[in-house]
Amino acid sequence: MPRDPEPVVEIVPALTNVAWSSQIVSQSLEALFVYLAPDGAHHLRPIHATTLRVGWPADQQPGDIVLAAARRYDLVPLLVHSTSWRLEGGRVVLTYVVAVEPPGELNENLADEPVARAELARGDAMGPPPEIGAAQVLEHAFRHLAWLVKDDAAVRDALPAWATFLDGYEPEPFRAFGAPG
Amino acid sequence: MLGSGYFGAVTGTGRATVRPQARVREVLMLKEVTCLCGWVARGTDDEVVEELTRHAWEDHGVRKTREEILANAVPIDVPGDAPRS
Repeated sequence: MPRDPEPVVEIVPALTNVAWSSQIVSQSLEALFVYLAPDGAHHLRPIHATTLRVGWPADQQPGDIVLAAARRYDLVPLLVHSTSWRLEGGRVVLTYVVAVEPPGELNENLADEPVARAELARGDAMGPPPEIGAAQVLEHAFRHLAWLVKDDAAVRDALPAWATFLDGYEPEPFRAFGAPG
Repeated sequence: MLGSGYFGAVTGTGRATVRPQARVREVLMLKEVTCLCGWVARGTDDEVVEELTRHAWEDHGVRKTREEILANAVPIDVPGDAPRS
């Protein structure tokens, strides 16, 4: 009976072994198109999805992709800003909120929904929330904008009509770790 | 096509040993098409064409050709479940 061959060498496992290619669509971008109406903020979502997802080619700026998507639906962007990220279905989803002018005629592929308040999805100190819904992503996006509109002159100038509405949101520059309280 | 391989198992000391046989994870090359309405189809060329043809007609009342559909499809890498030796 021949003996199993002995290992030739012993190596320490690599810190990372993820392949990289300039051709890989590395991430998914999520665009939240929102506009301000007299009764509050509205979300313009694709009629057959909870949010719009687009691929992120490695050679393009994500903000440019999101802006191009907004124009594809005949929307007029006022501001685009990334507000959160999460892991979903094996992909990193980077969320952008896109404040737009109130649409004149709504694109047939979009549904207009008022934005309702939601409890934030919270994880623990070492992990993400078990589930994150679109309403929670929107809630966090508005908290993020509530902070930016006070802290960033460019955002304040881009969204002069939004300041009063955003006063109703707790300003939150970053996601909080840990349970509330 | 990309794949990932292993060099044996991590030992109790936290080191890896190089074995003659390496396992290679299978990677399936599929296509994905996202409609302007947000609807997504994922599968082989034939599967996405079939699904999107049906979706376009039933949900939007339009006919799409195979060429139109595949022109909007992007390749995606999906790791297979079973490792090969």
